[in-house]
Amino acid sequence: MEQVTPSGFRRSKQRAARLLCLAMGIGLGMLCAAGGAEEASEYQVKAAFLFNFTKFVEWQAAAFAAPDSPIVICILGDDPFGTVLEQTVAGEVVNGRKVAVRRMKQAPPPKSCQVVFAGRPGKEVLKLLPGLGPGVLTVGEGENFVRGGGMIAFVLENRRVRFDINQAAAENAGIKLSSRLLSVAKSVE
Amino acid sequence: MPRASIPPPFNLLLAEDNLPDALLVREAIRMENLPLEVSIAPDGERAIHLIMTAEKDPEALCPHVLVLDINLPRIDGFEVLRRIRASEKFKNLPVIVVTSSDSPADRRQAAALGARYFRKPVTYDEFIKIGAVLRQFLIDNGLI
Amino acid sequence: MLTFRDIPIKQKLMVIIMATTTVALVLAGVGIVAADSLLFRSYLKRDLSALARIAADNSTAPLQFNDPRVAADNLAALRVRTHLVAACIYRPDGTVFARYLRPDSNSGCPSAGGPDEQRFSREGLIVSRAIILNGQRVGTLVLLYDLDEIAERMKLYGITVLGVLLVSTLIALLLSTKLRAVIATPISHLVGATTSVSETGDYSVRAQRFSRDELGVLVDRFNEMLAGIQSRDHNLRTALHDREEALRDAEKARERFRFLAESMPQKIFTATPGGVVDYYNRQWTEYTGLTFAQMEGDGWKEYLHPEDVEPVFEVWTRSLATGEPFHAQQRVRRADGAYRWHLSRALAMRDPQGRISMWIGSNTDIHEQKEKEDELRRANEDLQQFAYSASHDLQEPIRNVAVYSEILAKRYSNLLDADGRQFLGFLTEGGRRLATLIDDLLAYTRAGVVESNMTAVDSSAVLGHAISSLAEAIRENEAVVTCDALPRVHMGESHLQQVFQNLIGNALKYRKEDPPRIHISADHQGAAWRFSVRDNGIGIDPHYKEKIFGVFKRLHRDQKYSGTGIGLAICQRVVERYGGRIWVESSPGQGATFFFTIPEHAPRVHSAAV
Repeated sequence: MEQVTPSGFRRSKQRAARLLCLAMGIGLGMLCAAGGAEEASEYQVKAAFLFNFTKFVEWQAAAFAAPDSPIVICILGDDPFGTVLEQTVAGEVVNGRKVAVRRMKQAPPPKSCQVVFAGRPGKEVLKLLPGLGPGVLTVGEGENFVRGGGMIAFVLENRRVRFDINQAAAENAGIKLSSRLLSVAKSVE
Repeated sequence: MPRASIPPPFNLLLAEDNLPDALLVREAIRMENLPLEVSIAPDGERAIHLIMTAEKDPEALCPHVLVLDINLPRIDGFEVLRRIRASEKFKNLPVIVVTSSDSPADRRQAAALGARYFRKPVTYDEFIKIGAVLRQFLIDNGLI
Repeated sequence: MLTFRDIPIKQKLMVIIMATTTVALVLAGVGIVAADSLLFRSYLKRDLSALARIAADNSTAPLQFNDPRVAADNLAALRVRTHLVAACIYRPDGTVFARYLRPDSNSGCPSAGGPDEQRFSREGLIVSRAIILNGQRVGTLVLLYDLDEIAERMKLYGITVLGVLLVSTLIALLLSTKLRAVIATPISHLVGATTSVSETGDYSVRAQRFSRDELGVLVDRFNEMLAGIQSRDHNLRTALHDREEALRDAEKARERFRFLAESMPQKIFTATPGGVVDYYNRQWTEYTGLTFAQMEGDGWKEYLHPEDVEPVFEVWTRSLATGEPFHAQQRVRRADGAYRWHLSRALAMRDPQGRISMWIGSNTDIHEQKEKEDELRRANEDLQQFAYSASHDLQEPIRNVAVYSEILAKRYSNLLDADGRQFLGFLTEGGRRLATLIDDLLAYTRAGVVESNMTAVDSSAVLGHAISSLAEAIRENEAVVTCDALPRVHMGESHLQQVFQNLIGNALKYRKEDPPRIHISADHQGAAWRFSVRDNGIGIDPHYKEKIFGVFKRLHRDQKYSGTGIGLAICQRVVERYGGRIWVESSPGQGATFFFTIPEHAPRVHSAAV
């Protein structure tokens, strides 16, 4: 990952440009502290973060249907992202796998999703999250998410998007979370 | 002077200052019957004068034989002999040198100047010999 | 100011050792420090690169998740590296995402530069690293590291090296102080020995050998040389001493000689082997009235009579060349100008090798003698001359008397009576005798005349002449004359012939009945030739051995033997004239042998008349 190939460099330049826009957006957003219209909206950031999580997570091979299966981010229930998530993950490759987005109404079958975004799920959904199978990273929102067994939960701190991590839950699901990710988290359990 | 062509009698010049000695020679010649006419020069100077005259003047008396005493007054015999030997005409003149004494030096000198030698007689026998000596001398010199 | 060449070897060695050591150490130290510095820099680079890598890695998440705080915290953790001045994370757009600045630094974040580079700048080492996530560059980490560490390190190293240098130098100093003695001590010993020799002149000094290396060899050779010099010196001294002694002896001898020479009444002179007169005694200088300076060298020409200069010089030169004794008669000028005859003689003095070392001579005044001699000789000559001419003049008339009386007797005796014939006989006889006597007298005087040429004559040739002049008598007597090989003698030819003639004539005269046999021989007796004439005649009574040589002495009456008796007297006169002797050995009836000697070298007497 450290090795930057020329094409990668070009690619990363594109990404850098994009991220730059995002960052600038976030920065501008942060400047305009008054809760008005934010350039980089909350879910834009969260989409980015969601995508970024894939970079810091290690799935076992069994988590995928096939070696060349993409990393699928499933949105379970309400979709707050709109097209942002698709835009974010378009054309990206993480660890040699493409990244895809699906929407689900019910619990996805095993190996079909590697990341499941559940938003603010109710109790029932929360309960079934661990049962989604090993190799599924569950991401939600709010502090209760991780208390309830979720692995990563977006939280807002001073209008900044942060997240909490339930490491145990991740471990139970056979997912390895990079320590780097852990270091950035607001809190880790 | 060619010898054989001269007819006798020959002229004998006797240079002698002692008359008795001169007469002895003459007597010896007479006794021996030698064809000699004797002329006497009493000293060396006269002898030379005669020779010189004979040399210059063909009419003058020409000596064919010379008997020469060594002890001559004025010019001694050897000097005379030297002069004769130096002259062109008479350098081969037959000469007998006579002397009183018998000294080897005199003998040598006479021989050196091409002259015979005999002693003056002291005895009669010696006196007699003179003739024979002269005869032999003439024969030796091709005159007789 | 001494140049390096002139300082003592000990110090030289020290300087050399210390200089090399110091230079080596310094170079080594500098090398080490420099090498270390270089190595450390490269180490720093690597180290910081590694650090950057780690930090970059750690910064991916904060960057991605936009958490500058965490990033800053991460960076701040680097403060443990005290020399890290700044650590900054740049966003891809170039803005600073997070930073750590060392509290005391007053500089900001270093500029990003390239993605991965390490460069040394004025401020320090700048390491940039791209922060890569998922193959994409998400930011750049730039670290600024100050070089104090390097400086510190260098200082540390430097001090260490210096310390080591000093210690090493000290140790080297100590060691070389000890070790230079190995070289310097033998050298200084040798120097000491040579100095001692040259100062004291004592060649018995020897240097001590300390080792077997080149110095040892030097010492050995030096000692050998000294031994050689010592012995040569000794020899020289001995030779010098001997020479001085010899010179003293020579001087003493010369002194003695001088004293002797000066005290003698003779005129003494000495000359060099080359013939240069270098000494005249007092008698000389007083006699001539000249100073030595005037007389020495060629000065002898001064005092000799001008006529004598050349002949004497010739004889002198001959003596010098042959080494034979020199004698000459010369006239020496006295102070008053008068010339007096002197007999000058000189002998060559030879050294043990036979070479002539000097000539010593003397001059004796013989003036009176010479005058008397000359007078005598002149008188003699006059007498001889008178006798010669007198006898010549006497001869003629006497001869005439003799011959004519005989002619008279032969031709005219018939005119005389018996008495007359007898008287005429006496006349004749007397005349003949007189004539013969005059002849002999003439011969006798002639025997005293000095012959002009005194070269050696061949006596056998002279004998031949004598025999031919006696040819008739020899024939008449039927005599046989024989001889041995006869030598050359220094004698007048006619004189020798006279002697032979007289002796052979006597042998013919005093014969026995048998035909005379006469034999002549000669042998060498000392410095003379001894001739012998042997006959088989009547012999001589020993009583009359001497008398027969007297003038006119006859032993027999003239009837039997003719002759005037002057023959032997003539022989004696002639022989003695030449410095010889004549004698006879005989007994009556046994024949006689006459001996006469003629010296080998006739005495060379230089006289004005020669």
